[in-house]
Amino acid sequence: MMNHNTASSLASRQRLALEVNGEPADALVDTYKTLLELLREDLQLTGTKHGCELGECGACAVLLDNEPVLSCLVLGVECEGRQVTTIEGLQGDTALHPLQDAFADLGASQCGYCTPGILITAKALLDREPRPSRAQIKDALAGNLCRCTGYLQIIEAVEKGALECARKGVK
Amino acid sequence: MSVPTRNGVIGVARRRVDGRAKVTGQTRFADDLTLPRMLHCKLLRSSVPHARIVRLDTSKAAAHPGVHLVLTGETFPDCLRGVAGEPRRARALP
Repeated sequence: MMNHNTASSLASRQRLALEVNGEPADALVDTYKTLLELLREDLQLTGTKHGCELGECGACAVLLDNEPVLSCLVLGVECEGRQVTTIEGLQGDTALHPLQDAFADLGASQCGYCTPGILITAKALLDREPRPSRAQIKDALAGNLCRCTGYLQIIEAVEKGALECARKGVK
Repeated sequence: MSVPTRNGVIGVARRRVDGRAKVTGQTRFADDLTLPRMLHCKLLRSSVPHARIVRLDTSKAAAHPGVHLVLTGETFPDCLRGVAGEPRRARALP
């Protein structure tokens, strides 16, 4: 990335076409790069966070064909022709997604590093279970680490977001 | 939990000023910044606590493609601060 003579120029590259946040995206990417690196370094979508790179923290969660995945464990070249949704694509044209409003209103985001991954994971939960129980929320977020909030605000924000989604008819 | 007050501020939940940025992924953390001519730094730390560093061979690291500079304790001969302020003869990075 920073030097022209680094290992990246020695690696093979591949042209990729995929859909990111509803828009076509096209990049010439190093084949060793993960989806996380593809998003952050090649597409400049830095909202998706680089946490542990081991699949343990959930900070890099994105939706791949509407299913939550850890983008640090997916290779970019696996995503040819697929749909990716990141935190940058969660809000509507004019308003925040109700989950985003609830997280901001209830203090569910403090330092904010885990927030994109948690919002994406919560969105996936609401897609399959629009009225989740508290146990279902805890279960869905079990793979997302937050070191600030103690989780209670996050769980309450997902509950509020679910109610607001139902009330406003937002997906 | 909100308590009615005359001024409408005390006891009323308020969004963080950066709340919106954080829930939309717009907040820039250190790892999100890219600056012109930016270099990345990698720290190599001892795998053994309180060990004495007898010798450091950085030749392979320095010769690695893309590496601009390798720094060791030898670069800072006057810096004697070690663990708990203990002076050292060793050539470790502080």
